[in-house]
Amino acid sequence: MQYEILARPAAAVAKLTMDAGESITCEVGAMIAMTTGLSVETTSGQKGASGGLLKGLKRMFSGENFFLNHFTANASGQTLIIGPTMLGDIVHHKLKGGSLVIQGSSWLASDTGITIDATWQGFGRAIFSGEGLFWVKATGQGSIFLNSFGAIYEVDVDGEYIVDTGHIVAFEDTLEFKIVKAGASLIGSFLGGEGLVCKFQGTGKLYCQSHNPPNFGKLLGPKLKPR
Amino acid sequence: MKAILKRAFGGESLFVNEFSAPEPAELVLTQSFPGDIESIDLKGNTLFLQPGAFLACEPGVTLGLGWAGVASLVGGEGLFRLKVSGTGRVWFSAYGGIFSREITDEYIVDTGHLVAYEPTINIKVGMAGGIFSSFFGGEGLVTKVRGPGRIYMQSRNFSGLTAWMNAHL
Repeated sequence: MQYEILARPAAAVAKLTMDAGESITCEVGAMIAMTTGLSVETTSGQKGASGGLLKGLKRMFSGENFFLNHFTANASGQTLIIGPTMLGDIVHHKLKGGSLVIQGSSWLASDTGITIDATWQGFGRAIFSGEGLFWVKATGQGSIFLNSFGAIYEVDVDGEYIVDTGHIVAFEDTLEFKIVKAGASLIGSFLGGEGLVCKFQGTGKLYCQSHNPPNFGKLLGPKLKPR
Repeated sequence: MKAILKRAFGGESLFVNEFSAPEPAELVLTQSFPGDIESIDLKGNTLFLQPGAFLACEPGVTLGLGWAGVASLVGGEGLFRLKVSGTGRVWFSAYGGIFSREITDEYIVDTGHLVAYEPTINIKVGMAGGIFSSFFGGEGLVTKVRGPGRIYMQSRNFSGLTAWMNAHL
């Protein structure tokens, strides 16, 4: 499978070129356009695996859809264009073993070498990280496509790194993160508008997004007329 | 240069603003939503634009309203389409990025992503997969385009944005 990411970073799409028999699992509704030699299969779990119901339910809690779409090429040279709903960027991450922990709505697609599941990150992080209750955990070897709200920038963390809540896209599970207050005093942290932040520790790759959907939603909310 | 800004589009009426420069001048035009603008140089050929995609054109270009058909309406692209023909440049805009593809046989585009296409393109409504995939797979109905001809697609669609907003109200 070959990929190309177009229209970065404002409204990126991933263009995948697939050979016969190759398959990709995508978020529901991600398909924008495709050639006719691709077949679509909708399941609640991994392609060809049983017991997808529980996984589907867990995925719903992580901000993803209950169902997954599997696109399989029936002939060589088939192309599939996928993209997220919101304006923003896409990055490709090559997972070579280990896991990538992905913020609920940032998982777009992954190939058949990757198993995706929901993961619980603990109460503190669930409540204060500004992200969903569950996160998506991708394990295995293969390609993963992540999407963001705004542009994506990557950070190779070695030691410590601080990200504001709501700006995490994904991180390698060799990194640990804690919710800490931004400043020395709690009052200062809240008055400064930063409140709580996510502090990463360890060595690994971290993907962040330049904008934050909950903040955008909060800005729009009061301006909308009641129905 | 004749630039056209259309406010109402649906009936037969079309409001148009014409800008002409008695001396060298600059005009900046844009659409009301974030996205790319594409320019096409028409040399006697015709292009169909989806409602809302048209931005401006030079005086040699003729604008017409065409019936796009029920397939286009069901496919989320509207019952009417704008027909641009003649000689001169046309600018059209999209929500998100614009990318094009030369279609030789058949190609599938999700509803709401088709922006412009050549008149040799034939449009049908179909399903992306089986009935189950179409209803639960979130892809619903798709537009099946048959060539030969060039199509222009946008990388995002408005129904995705409005669905996200409605979920947050």
